Amino acid sequence: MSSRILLIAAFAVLAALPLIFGTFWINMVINALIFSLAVFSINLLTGFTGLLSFGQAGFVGIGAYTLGVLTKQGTPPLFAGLYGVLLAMLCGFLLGLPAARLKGHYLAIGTLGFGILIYQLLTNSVDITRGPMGLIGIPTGVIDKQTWYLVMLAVCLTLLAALAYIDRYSALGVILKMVRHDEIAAQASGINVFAVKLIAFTVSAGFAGLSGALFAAYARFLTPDLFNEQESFRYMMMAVVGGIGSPLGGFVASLVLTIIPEGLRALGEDNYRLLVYGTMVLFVLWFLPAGIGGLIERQRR
Amino acid sequence: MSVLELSGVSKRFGGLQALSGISLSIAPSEVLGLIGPNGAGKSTLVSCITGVLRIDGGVIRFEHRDIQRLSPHQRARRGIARTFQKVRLADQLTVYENVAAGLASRWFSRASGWSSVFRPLSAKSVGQAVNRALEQVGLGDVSGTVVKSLPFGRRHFVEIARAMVSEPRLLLLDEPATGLTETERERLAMLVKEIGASGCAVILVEHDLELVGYLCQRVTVINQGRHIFTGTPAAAQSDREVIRAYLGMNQLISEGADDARG
Amino acid sequence: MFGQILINGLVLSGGYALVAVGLTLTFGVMRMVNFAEGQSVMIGAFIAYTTVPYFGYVGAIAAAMAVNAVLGVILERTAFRPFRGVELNGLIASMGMSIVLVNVAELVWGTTPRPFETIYNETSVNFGTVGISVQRLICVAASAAILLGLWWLVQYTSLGRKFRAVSEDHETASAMGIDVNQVSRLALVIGSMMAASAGALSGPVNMIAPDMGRTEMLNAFAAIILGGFGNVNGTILGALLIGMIQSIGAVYISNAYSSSISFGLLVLTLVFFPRGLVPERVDENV
Repeated sequence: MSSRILLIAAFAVLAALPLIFGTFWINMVINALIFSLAVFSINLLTGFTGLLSFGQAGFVGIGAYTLGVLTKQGTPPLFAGLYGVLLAMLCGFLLGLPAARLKGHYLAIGTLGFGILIYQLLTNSVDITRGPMGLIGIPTGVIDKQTWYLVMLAVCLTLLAALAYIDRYSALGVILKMVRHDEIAAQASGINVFAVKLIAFTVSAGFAGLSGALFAAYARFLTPDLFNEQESFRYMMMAVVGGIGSPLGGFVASLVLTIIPEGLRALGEDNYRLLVYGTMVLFVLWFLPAGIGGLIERQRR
Repeated sequence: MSVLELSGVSKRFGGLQALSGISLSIAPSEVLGLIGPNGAGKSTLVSCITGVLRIDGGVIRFEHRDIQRLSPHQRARRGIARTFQKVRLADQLTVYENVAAGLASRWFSRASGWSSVFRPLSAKSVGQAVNRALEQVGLGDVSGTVVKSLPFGRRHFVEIARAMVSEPRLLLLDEPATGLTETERERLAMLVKEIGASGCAVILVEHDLELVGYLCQRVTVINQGRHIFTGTPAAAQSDREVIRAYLGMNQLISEGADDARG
Repeated sequence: MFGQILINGLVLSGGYALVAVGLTLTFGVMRMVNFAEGQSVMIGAFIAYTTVPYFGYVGAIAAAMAVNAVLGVILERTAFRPFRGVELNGLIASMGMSIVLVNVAELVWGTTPRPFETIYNETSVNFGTVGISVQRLICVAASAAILLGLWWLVQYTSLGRKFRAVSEDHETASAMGIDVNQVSRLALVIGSMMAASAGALSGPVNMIAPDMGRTEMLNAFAAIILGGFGNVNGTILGALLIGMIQSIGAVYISNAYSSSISFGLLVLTLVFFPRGLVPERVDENV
């Protein structure tokens, strides 16, 4: 029980931060929180169900551009966001159809290829997305940063709670783990492994699409480069640093791996951002193979 | 009325004919032994029945319906459960959680059951079913133990509990006695008898012929993918084909049959 | 037109093949994909660029390969060996290394793309009506030579046999006395050296920048899916196919979508052939 109190206390502290820190830092944390949704999508897909996806940025991009393009045409942002998530889920479903039959490295490269195709589609459909020129001035109204911060914190907390419930307490969690560990035994227990994988791809894409839609609504400016394979790699790195099966770890990793490099930029040391990022990733992998989530688990006991 | 009926089942792998013309049937509450020398095709046959492998010829009927087109999970939901020669459990999960996975068969066999997956594992409906299965196999005391820390022998019983929790009408046991201590073997024998008595048909694939003799009313013997005998264990021991295929079976089966009568 | 398409295709194919073979060797031996391979190409290009004034072009290529050999050793120790058995972490570690390398390159050479001038860029050879730059010809010829050398190495030398043994089953190979760590190191060294040559050869064709190498790596992945993970011959053929299709596509479809073609092909292949075009021999025991 004490770990739960600790968690709530931590969130309370986080919620109070805007009162202390300035706009730059709040902006950074908001971005980190938005990224964490993409990380959750990987926790669900790879951590819980054991499926690799190296193309999640594609779904983030779909969510983002759908909101961007539709709101510029007059659709209310809430609906545009919903459509973005749904379109991302549809694409996740379409990817899942062939992907659910792939194994290991084929799955990794296949999803990578899919993500790149989406990125290229976004780049080349200049009539719709304005391509590399960027989509500017997305009309989601000017909501002040404090509100965005609290909204994002609430969204993250809700999703964390949902994922933790699924993972630790619900029967669904056991089913996902059976699919992950032993498909043949899962089938013998009446689990339709193909359907589970398909649903995992779809829901995971939905999470990623949500991340994208929120990003578009917040940043109000998009370029396709925000959704290329380097970004997919970034989400994977955050997920593994956080501990692939631990959404809470992913949440912390998202904060740490966004704040530290961006913080460096604020302090003027812009040139070392990637170096610091990469080194942090390597250090965690070398010394904390179970990621930050593993560390949290150990503290729990 | 038979629970499972195979007629003329055949399966080939490339150039190798693994099974040819296998026919057998089993009635509710019956315990049927499936025996034969190593490589005879017993595991292949089990995989064909459960749907992991597609047959190339013949018919498989479960409760009078042709199940050839059904995939493994669909057959599981219809009431066919199995254990594995090499135990397949999620090592990091507890005994309770592993057995709970078996409930998927029950939940997914009706559309209304799908929402049950969101139930907490500690829910009464889950707990009752799982604990009942654990009591039946004698694992009530280790419900919360992680499978990784469980001795190998007891893991067979976890698999059986997982199979039974789905309330199957046909249970396929693939060499469940492997690596069991004497006490565990006796426990297994009593358990299989109880399962049969409760109405579930059991196909027991085993090398432990004493166990087979004790538990099975009938045995089917296969060798090199062909059916060579079906009958009582006692009759099997005097069948020429059987003796030829499987030396040494003689003594053990009669010992087992004596125990059953005695 | 045909001549241009052919040469462009061969230039692309050569680059992709060099990178892809390195990746496939590494994968065969370590069962992990090297996501830092693109950066190996980039480092190779920059080292060659920097050393051309001192050693001439050929010497620069050699220098690039030498530096990358060291890079390969470093990669093996930091990003792959620690993660045997936990392959996903190895992949991510190589991603981490890749961004470290990009930053290092940015620190040394700056972020702006620069042209890699060699004397060969200026001169052209005429085949009938087609004028082809000597640089491109060198690209194709050198790629072919290096690939031939590698193919010969894998087929006929004892090292090649060791590669194949470890790829098949590294426990058995280890039990037979093969030093699996050494073989892994060599796989990465050779892979990085080939990436270096890819960078040094194709660098002059386009500009070089610290963020280069990604396209080569991604197309190399497509080649490996077509040719089979761990299969050197298939990978070379796959790269040939990808390069030619891109070259044709750039002319007849559109330049922008030409790279989509290889990924589209990759995805389509996996849709219809979930085990890849050249399935590995893996037994699924039930």
